[in-house]
Amino acid sequence: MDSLTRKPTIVVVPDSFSAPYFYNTFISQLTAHKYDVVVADLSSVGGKAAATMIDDDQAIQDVTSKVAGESKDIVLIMHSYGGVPGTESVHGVTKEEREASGKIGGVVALLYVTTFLAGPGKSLGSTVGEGAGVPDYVKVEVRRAFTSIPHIILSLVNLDFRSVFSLALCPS
Amino acid sequence: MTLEAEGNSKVTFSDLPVSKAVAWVGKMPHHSTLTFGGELNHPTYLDIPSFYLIAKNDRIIRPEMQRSLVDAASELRESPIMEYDIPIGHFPFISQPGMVVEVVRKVASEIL
Repeated sequence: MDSLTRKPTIVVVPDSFSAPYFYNTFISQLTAHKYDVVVADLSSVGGKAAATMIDDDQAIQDVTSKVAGESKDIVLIMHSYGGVPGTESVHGVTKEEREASGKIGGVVALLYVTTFLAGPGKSLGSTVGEGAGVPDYVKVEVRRAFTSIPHIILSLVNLDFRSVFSLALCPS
Repeated sequence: MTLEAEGNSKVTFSDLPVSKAVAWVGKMPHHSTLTFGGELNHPTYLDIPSFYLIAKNDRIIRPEMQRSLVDAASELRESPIMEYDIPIGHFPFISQPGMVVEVVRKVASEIL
């Protein structure tokens, strides 16, 4: 906790398909309550088509490490997909782990907001696959760059995406 | 992945007026498909205080599924994950930001 305000810094992990500015109204309301707030910018959103969950995990940990490095306590808020890389990113950045190595500050609590709370070893895909129907508004495009890398196609199929999303080959 | 606007607006922003919902989905960037296959290696919710806001009106992750996921995670912990049930849709940060702010304030007071 910040020794002056006793308020943790809030780090927000966005949903899939969601840019940091989507959270601006929420952030301004929190700021009005004297919270410091930082939003992670996920590599997988609007950037590289081949970004992985681990890329997002690292983008989040870059933010939490920086805030913790300022001796701040952190509540990590994770929205929907953000719960998977968010949960992963906390490893090594908890307050308890940092204090064990003589450091101050770190992640003190997790707040999941309607999240795919994945079990150990589970992905969002395998979590959804157990309980949900097929959302037909999601279009999975496999671009030409991907089709030249067969193992990626294979991995998509192995993830059981066919049961979750409609997998469409995109000629462009 | 990309999202088809009309279908997406009805679920992601089900608690916004249609015109606003459509405007927001039009802003949603593409998302890397590979991320949905990334497996959780460090279930850190087992180690530190954890809270879950159940969005009771969510049409993407139904509240029943949210509860079953929380229950499953809670069974692995020494104490259950604390739940807050709120009548909001999938994107409350836009549709009902004040309700999420109140939950954040409750969480902050719980961990003092």
